Amino acid sequence: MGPLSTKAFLIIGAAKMLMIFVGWLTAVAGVTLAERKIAAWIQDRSGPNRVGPWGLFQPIADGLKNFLKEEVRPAGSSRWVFYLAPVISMFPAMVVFAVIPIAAPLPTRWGTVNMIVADLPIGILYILAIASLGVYGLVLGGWSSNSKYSFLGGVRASAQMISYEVALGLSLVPILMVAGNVTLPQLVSQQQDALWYILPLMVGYLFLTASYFAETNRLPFDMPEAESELVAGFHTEYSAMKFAMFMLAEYANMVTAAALMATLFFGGWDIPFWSGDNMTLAADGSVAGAAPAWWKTTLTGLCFAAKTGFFILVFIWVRWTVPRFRYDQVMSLGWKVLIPMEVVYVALLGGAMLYLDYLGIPFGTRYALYLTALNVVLMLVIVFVVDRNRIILGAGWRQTRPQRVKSEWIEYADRRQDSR
Amino acid sequence: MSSTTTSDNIDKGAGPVAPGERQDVAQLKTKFGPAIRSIELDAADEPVVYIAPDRNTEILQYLRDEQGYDMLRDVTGLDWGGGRPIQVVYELWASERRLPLRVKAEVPPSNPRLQTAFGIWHAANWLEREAYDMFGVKFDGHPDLRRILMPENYEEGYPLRKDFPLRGRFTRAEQTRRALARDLEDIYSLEELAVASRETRTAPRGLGVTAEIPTDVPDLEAKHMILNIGPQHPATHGVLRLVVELDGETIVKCTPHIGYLHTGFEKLSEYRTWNQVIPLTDRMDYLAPMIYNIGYALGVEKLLGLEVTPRCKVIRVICMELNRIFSHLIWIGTTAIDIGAFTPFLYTFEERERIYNLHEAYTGARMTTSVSRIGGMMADVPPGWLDAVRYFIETFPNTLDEVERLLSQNAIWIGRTQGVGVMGAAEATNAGLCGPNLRASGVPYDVRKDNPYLEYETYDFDVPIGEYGDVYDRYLVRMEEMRQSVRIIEQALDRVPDGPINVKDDRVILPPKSRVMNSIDGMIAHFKLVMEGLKVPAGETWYSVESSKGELGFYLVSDGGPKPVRCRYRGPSFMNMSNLPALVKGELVADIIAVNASIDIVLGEIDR
Repeated sequence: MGPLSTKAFLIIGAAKMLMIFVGWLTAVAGVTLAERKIAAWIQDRSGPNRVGPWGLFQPIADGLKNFLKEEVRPAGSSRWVFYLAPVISMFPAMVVFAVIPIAAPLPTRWGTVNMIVADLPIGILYILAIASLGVYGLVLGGWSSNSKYSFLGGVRASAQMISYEVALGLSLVPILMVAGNVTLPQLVSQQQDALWYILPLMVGYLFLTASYFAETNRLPFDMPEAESELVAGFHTEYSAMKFAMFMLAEYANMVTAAALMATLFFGGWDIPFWSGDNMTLAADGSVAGAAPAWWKTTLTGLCFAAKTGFFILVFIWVRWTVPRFRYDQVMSLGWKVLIPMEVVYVALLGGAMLYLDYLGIPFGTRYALYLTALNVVLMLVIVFVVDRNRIILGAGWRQTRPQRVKSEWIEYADRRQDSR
Repeated sequence: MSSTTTSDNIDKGAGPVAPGERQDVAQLKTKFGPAIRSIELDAADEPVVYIAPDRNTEILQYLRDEQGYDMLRDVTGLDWGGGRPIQVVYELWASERRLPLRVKAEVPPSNPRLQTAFGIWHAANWLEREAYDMFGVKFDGHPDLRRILMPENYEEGYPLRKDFPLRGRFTRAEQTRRALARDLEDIYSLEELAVASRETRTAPRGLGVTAEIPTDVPDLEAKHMILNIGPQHPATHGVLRLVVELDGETIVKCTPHIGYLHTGFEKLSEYRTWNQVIPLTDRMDYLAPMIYNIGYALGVEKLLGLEVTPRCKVIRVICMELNRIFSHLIWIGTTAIDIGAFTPFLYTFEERERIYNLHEAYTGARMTTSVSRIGGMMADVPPGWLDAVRYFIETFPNTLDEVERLLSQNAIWIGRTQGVGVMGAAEATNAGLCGPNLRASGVPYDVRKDNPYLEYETYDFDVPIGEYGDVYDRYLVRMEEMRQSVRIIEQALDRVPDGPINVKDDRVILPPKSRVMNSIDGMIAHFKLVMEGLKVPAGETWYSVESSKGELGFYLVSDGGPKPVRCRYRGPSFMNMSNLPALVKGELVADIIAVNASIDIVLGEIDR
C-alpha cells in the first residue's frame, strides 16, 4: 500500500489528534485521582472514596468545583499576563505529546497509519524546544500576581527550570549519540532491534530521571511551589479554573515526562521478548519487519500505557516518600553535580563507542551489551565511590554524623546538702 | 475580690531567714549590703532576695558571673494593687550547682523603671517585653521594648495590673470602634516602606528594620525585600507572623510578631478559684495538655505543702510521659511536612490517635483533658486503661523505627537539617533556649533530673544530649526522648501501687458523696469547697516541670484567699520562639521554616 491520500491524511490526522487529546486529558484526570489514591495508600488511609464507586468520579467533581468557584484576581496584578499564564503553562505539555508514538502502526483500508500525531524529523529537539516554553507560564504567573510569595516562586521556577533544561538536554545526548537520529519512532525501532536503552544507557537514564523530576517541579524538586515555604509558590494567587489549569499542567507534564521516559529508554510501545511487533513504517507507507495488525496496535498501545503508568507511579511514589530540597541545594545539584557528571559520561560513552567502532562491531544487541557492561561499571562507581549520600548534600554539610545522639545518665544529688 | 486583698500576709509564714543559711545568698548580702533589702523564703524554702531597683543590673551581673546563675528562667511582674509597688521578679538558675534564686525589685507603679537585664542574659529580651506589656515596667536600655502580646498600639493600659478590670477599660463598642479605626495595613506597609524607600529611613516605632539603604539610588532599587510570613501561612503552626527581611532568599532579619492568640490566661486565672484554673492550663499547650494540668497542680500542691498519694504520683508520671510522646509525635510530623515529607506526619498521627483514645478513655476529652485536680486527679484511671497504655508503649516504638527509617538516613533530610539553625551551648543557655532544643545544643539540663518532681529520680532513664545544636540534633534528641519516655512508662506501669488516687484531705478534695449525705462534717467540707473553693495558704512558689517543649514554670502567688493573686505561666515555647531571630539569621527562606518547626512552638502557650 502506498502513502495515505491527502484527504485520508487530514481526516485520520484529525482523528488521531482528537484521540490523543481526549486520551491524554483522561490520563491527566486519572493521574490526579491516582496521586491521591496512591498517596493515601502510602500513608495508611483510604483516599477519596465518596464520589462514585471507589472514588472514580473524583476528578469530575474536582473539575466541576473548580469551574464553579469564584475567580479572584489580586489588586495590582497585570491583568492579561495573569490570565495568560495558566494557558501558557498548559500548552507545551500538551503539544509535546504530538511527537510521541503511542502504538504500532495500524493497518486501515486507506493505508497503514502511524500511531503518532506528527512524526517530526526533529523529534527530541522539538520536545526540548517546546518543553522549555513551559517555564514562561510559571514565571509570568508568579510575576503578574503582585504577590511576594508568587514572585519568589516565579524566580525559583525560572532559575530551576532553566538550569535543569541544560541537564535534561545533556542527559539526552547519549541517546542521540547511540541512536544517531532524533525521531522517536526511529528510536523505538532501534530499541526493538538491539536492546532497550535502559541497559546500555542506564547512567543516562539516571540523569534523565533527576532532570525530569526537576523539570516537572515534583517533589523533591518542587521549589516553585514549596507549599510549606511559599504557600503555593507561583500559583498562590490563582483560584478556580486558572488554578486548576496550573495543576493540570503539572500533571500533564508528568504524563508527558513518563511517556518520554518509556519511549526513550524502555522501548516505547515495544512489547519485550516478542518480535511480532518489530515493525517500522517508512515514509512511503511500506512496512518493514512484522506485519501490522489491529490487535498488535491495541496490544502495543496497552503496553505503552502500562509503561507510562509505571513511571507516573514512580513520580507519585517518590513525591510521598522524600522531603524537599532547599533551593540552593537544587541549584548546586544541577550545576555542580549533574551537569559535570553528564559531560564526563558523554565523553566516556563517546570513547567507548569509538573503540567499538574501531573493533568493527556493528550496532545491534552485542554492541548494546558492551555498552551495558560499561554502564554497569559506571553505575557502581557512581553509587559506591562518587555518591555515598554526598551528591545530594551538595556543597553543604559533609561531615558524617551518627544517627543517634549520645544519652547521658545524669545523677541526681540533693543540692541542699552541699550548698548550706 | 482577690484584687483588693493585701500583701501583708504573704511573708508571714516564711519569715526572714538567717543570713548565711545559703552560702550564695550570704555572700550576696555581704557584697551588696544595703542594696539587698530583705531576704525571705518562699513556700518551697527557696530564698527570695529583695534588691534595690537602681542596682539591679549590678547585682544580677554579679550573680551570673560570680555565683554561676547562668540561666534566667523568668522575668515577670507581680502587682498587689492598692498603690503598692510593682515587684519585678527575676527567677534564676545556677545549672552547675542546681540552685534556684528569686530576685525581686520593687518599683513604684506610677513610674516603674528598671535597667534591662538583656545585656546579662539574652533571655530577658521577650520576658522584659512581656513584663512591660503587662505591667508597664519600662526597662531602660532594652533594644526593642514594645508591647508583645497586646497590640502594639493598645491604649487601655497594662492588663495584669490589679486596677485593670477583667474586661478591659473600654466598652466592647469602644474597643470595636478603635479596632476598626486602626488600619493595620498601615503598620504592615510602613515596615515595607522603611526598607523600600529612602524617605522613610526612620522606621516606625520599634520595628527595628535594619536595611541600610544608600541615599543616592532611586526608590525602586532598594536592596532588601520584606516578606510577611503569616499570620496565615501553612508553616507557622498557628497564628504567628514573622516579618522577614530578605536579601534575595537570604534572611537578613527576622522579627516574630506574636499575640494573635492572646487569651489573657494569666489575668483570667486571677479571677478563678485554684481548681478552676486547671481547664485554662490545657488550653495553653493543647499538644501536651496533661503536662500543663499536672504541672499546675504540682505547683499549687507545693504552695499547700501537700503530698499526693503514691498511686497518684505514678499515674501522673504515666500521663506526663504519654503526653511527651504525644507532643513529640506531632513535632516529628509537622517538621517533616515543613521540610517537605508529608508521609511521616500521617504515620505519627496514627499513633497520636491512639493516645487521643487513651485520653478519651480516661478523661472523656481528647484534647482539653483537664485531668488533674489539686491533691489528685479528676478520677482514678478506668479499669483496663493501664493495660491499654502498656499495649501502646509495646507497639508504638515500631512506628518510631519506621519514621526513623524514612528520615534519619535520608540524604535530603540530612541536607536540609544538618548545620541549619545552629546555636551553641553557651549562647543557648544565656538566651533561654529550653527543653530538647537546649539539650540538642549540648546542655545537659532536664528538670526531671536537675530538680526532680514526682520522684523522677527513682526512674531509670537517660537524657539525650546533642552535639551540634542544629535541626538534625533537635530531631534526634526528640526521637530518643520518646524512647526514654517509653522506658519511664514501662517502669511506672510496673510500680503502679493500689490505694486512693486523691489525698484524703477535706480542705482540698471533695469528700465522697456517701459522706456528704451522711455526715455533717462531710457536708460542710463539700459546701465550703464548692462555694468558696479551696484555700491556699499565703506564699509564693516558682514550680517548674519538664514539659515536652522545655522547662514549664508556674509562678504562683497566693494571699491565703480562694483565688490566686498571680498565676504566671512561663512557657517554654515563648522562650524558644524568642530565639528564632538568632537561629535563622543568615539562613535561607526554606530554613526559616525548618528552624521554626524544629524549635517546637505551640502558639496557644506563646500567646497565652
